[in-house]
Amino acid sequence: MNQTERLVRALLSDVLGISAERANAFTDDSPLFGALPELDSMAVAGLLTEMEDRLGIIIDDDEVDGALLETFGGLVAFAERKRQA
Amino acid sequence: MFRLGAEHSKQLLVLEPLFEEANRCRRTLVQVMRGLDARGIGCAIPDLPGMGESLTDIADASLDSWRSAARTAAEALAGPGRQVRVASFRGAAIFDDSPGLPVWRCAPETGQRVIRDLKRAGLASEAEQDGKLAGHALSLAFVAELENAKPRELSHSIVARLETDAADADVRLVGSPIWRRAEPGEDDALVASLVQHLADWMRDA
Repeated sequence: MNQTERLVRALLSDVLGISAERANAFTDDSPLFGALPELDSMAVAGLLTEMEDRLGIIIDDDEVDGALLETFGGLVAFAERKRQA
Repeated sequence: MFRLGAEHSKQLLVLEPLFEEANRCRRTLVQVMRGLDARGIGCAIPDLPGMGESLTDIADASLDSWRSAARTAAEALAGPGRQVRVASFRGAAIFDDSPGLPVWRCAPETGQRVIRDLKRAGLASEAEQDGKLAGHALSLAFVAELENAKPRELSHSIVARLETDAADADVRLVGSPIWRRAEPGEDDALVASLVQHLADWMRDA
């Protein structure tokens, strides 16, 4: 597991209040938005802002669409891209 | 104003995070206040105009009204033989200098980020916005004021942040960002860490 992936798992666990076991069980294909009852619209806002704080990045509103939070793997890939930018 | 340990000579004025984050953190802050009370430190949370139990309409709130409420609350804690200090949480850092006392800042942020967060929550919400910002009927003047507000540089201040936060800090806290939790929760590690650091800091007050 690389550093970004670990970071995103911790982020989901901390912001959504889900157990580390649940967060660690996510695979690249695990669906997020629509599949996790904890991930409602308010939680999406908190998740993105907390991701900015932890990675020291800025996420533009036009980067945020349905696809961003579709799967765990997609979210990790997005975080990885932002870290390298 | 919610107070615990009013009899102690050391008093801490606690300024809550703003808007939704205040609700998410209320329980944690009360747990921290209990912990500090047990260590001989009194605490008080004032109700800022338009927030908490305040009877003022949030539409009539302004940064000046918050600054003055923080100052008045600090004065209420002061007295002969009393030492008063301030702990501000998150967005409250933008007006925590108004009492003119030493400040301990927990994960401070700018007004711009507070507003960005509200806008983001509003965008993500499917409910009608009806001229409100994530459900808060703030005046346009107040939103503009908040967007330009930054924590003032202070000579006597401590910045505390979570270990996971990428920004600079004097103190690193253990635990999770309870202010982000969509569902209010508890975090014993965060409470213990806050009590420990705040008690240490209040010792030399």
